[in-house]
Amino acid sequence: MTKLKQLGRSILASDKKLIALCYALFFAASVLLCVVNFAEDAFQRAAGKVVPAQLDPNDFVLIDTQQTEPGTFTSTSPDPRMVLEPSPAYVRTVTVQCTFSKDPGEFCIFYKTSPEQTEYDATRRAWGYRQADGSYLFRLPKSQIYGLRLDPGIFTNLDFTVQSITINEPASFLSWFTPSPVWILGQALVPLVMAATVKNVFGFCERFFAQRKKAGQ
Amino acid sequence: MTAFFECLITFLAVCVLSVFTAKKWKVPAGAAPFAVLCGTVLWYSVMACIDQLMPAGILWFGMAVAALCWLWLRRGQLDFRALIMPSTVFFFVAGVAIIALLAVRQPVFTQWDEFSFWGLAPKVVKSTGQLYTYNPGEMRVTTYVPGLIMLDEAFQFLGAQFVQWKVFAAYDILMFAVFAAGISVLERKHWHIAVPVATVMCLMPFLMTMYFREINMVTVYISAYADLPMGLLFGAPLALYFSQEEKTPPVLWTCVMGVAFVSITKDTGFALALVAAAIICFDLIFVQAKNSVYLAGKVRGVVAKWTFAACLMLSPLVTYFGWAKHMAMTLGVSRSNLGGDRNMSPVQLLLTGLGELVGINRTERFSRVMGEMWQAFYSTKLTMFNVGSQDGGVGRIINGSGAIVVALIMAILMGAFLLEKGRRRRGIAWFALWSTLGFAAYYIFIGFTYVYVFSEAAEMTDYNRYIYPYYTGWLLAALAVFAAALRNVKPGALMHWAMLGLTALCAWRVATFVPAELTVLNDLTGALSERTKNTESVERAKALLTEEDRVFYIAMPDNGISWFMDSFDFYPEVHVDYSFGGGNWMDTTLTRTIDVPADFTDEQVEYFLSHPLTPETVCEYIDQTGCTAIFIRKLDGAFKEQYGYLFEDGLEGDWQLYRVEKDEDGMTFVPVPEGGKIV
Repeated sequence: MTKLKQLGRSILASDKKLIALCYALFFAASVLLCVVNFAEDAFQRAAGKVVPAQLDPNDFVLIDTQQTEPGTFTSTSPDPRMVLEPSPAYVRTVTVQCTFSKDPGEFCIFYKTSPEQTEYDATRRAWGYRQADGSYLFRLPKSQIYGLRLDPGIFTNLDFTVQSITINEPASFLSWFTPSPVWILGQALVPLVMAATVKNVFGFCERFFAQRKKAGQ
Repeated sequence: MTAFFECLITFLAVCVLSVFTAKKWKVPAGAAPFAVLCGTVLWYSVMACIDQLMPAGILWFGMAVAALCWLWLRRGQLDFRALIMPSTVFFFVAGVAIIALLAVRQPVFTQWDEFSFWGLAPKVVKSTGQLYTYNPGEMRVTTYVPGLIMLDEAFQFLGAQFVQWKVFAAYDILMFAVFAAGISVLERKHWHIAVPVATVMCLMPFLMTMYFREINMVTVYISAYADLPMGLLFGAPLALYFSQEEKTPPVLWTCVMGVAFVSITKDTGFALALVAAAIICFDLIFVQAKNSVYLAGKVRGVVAKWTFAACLMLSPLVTYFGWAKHMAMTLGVSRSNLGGDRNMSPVQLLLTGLGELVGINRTERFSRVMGEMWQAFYSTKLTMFNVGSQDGGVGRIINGSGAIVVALIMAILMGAFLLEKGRRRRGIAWFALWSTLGFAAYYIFIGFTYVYVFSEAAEMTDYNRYIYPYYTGWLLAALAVFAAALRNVKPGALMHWAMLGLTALCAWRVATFVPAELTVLNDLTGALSERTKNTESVERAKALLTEEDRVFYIAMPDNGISWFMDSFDFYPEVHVDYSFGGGNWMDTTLTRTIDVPADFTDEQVEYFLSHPLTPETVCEYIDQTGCTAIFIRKLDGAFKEQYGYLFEDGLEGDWQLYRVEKDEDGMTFVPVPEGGKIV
């Protein structure tokens, strides 16, 4: 215990050690968070809430989009939309195997997070990330959802051929740890802010105890 | 990849020169990059005005090499460890990181004014090797001051081709240099102050320019607009001067250069430069102790004070009149005419405005505009310092308006005031007073421009963009002053918590308003796909055309931006005619003002202004301008109906490129299928 105390003191006494510790802690915490996310996902899957399933493109209501062939949808305006309501309640990921006749521009999924929500809005949307196999992966929040809207591109006369739309596709263990640019930026900056805060907390405690000591005398 | 190394080498040259200025001339290490960039811009600008751009670049890199040799030879005597401070580490790491990020993401221009000036000008300078005033035919605007364009040129100098993202890199590195100057007074042991202050400073470009949650690409840090750098440059000399303990000659000369730089960022930069210079002069003359300011050696006291004050006030005037002289010589244009409705000179504008302000011949329009300006101050949302809905509750008060920003700045300055003592405390009080009065003057001045320069229909246009530079610079200076004052209290004190609280508040606002997916952090391929697609189609057409070709341009219907975007992409290989820009094709009866080529005679101008735009007129125009090809960006039914018969395929093929062919029967436009279809 005394050793631990000593270690703590030495860390707080040296700014370099404090900063290094914050970097290490934050990194460990963010890795731990990934593990927790993985475990939570595994638990929900085991509990039968998050279930992998295929969505049928024909169940979607088409807006500014026409089905030209089975599985192929052509946009009739720059704002094609495909709405699925009600949608499955637990949708963590959507994987779309598809091809476009040209680069679609923005390919997004909008979702409703409450049954009262009447309109889809830009604050509740997920961007598609192109994966190595050409499919697009969308990550949705953990909360229940009440509707999905697929916006395939931003061009008129764009052909969107769907092979499959899968929700909650099981992901590999490693995929939970893939770093994003925001994650990297966070790793660089947050520990510094943490360390600055800890330094102030420590300074505050020091003052507080010094004052109490004074008052005690 | 080569562009990455070119940019990195330029950045490293800036770093070497910074180390040199810090060691040789005792510029505070953190402010050295700012001093170097100011010096670089002034150097390139002067050399460009005398048409010596190439020697300017060679000599600049020569200076960097010489500085490196100097440092190498004295490596034994110099203490390089002392250079490692929060500000210098920040500048170096942020600079390298942004270059790497931009090199990977390769963002391109997307905003209108980038195609009409801020992105086009550096491309013209790079392509012609001259300042744009020497090639007035290349651009629609050539009278803008050259400061930021010369900064771009410094970063474009290495490399054979113009690279768009290097422009963003140059701007971002400048902003980081400004932030570093703002925290340059903090030593290594003050890292815990530097971290939150630098965080807030880096968030400022978002905080001060955005006021709603963006649903399109966020252009902060990937923009070539001058407003934000201008605001930060306005704040930088103030931040540096008021945060530094000693007003040494290197600090003051850096301020002089900073003031000169801000005066050549944009025309309004001149007003900001005067405000910054005046605030510093007041402190220098009336607040500083008699002998604390020295020029060199024994020259101290009043002489030194007045010399620096004179330099500060003169430097924007010198750049102003210098540029006026240059414009008169190269373009034959007078700078004393502000254009607009009434063709006033700046002095006339000021006198008339002040007259009306005190009630002499006050017009109804003046009262209205000033009323709107006053209302906008407390009701127009322009920053992220807004919470909730503006219709009620807290959101009605904390609405992100100028009033909220001013309140925040005053609170920060109050904090600094409480922490400081003696002369510095008095200095802060005077700074608060003069910066407020300076703001009032700037605000009223912008009001005058709305009355006298803008047309009635354009009143209050771009209000945010004209006003936020002042707020941004002001906030930057206030933060720097506060950061300096925080050194006086130990960690854990209330004011440190206030700073951390402000950091949390700013982070919260930015996280709420800015989806990371829409920033340059993310892969922007999707958001930029339309731009990429257009650029590709232009490249396809360019491959089929030669430098002798002149392109007539069609985009129907359009607000004009397509012309600017595409002619930017066509430049410099192929010339795109302005093609009745500003005119309306469907209107065949109205006489209107349209832009015609500068080399047209008065008769030709008169002819095309007075004749309706029938297919015959268009053919005559194409004939007289010598256009050899037609590029179509988009078409509508009305155009097809009226002009379709001129095209060999009746415009049914949706081809993008046509050749102009003339014979006895007249003119036909023959499709070039290799040019592809309209995308």
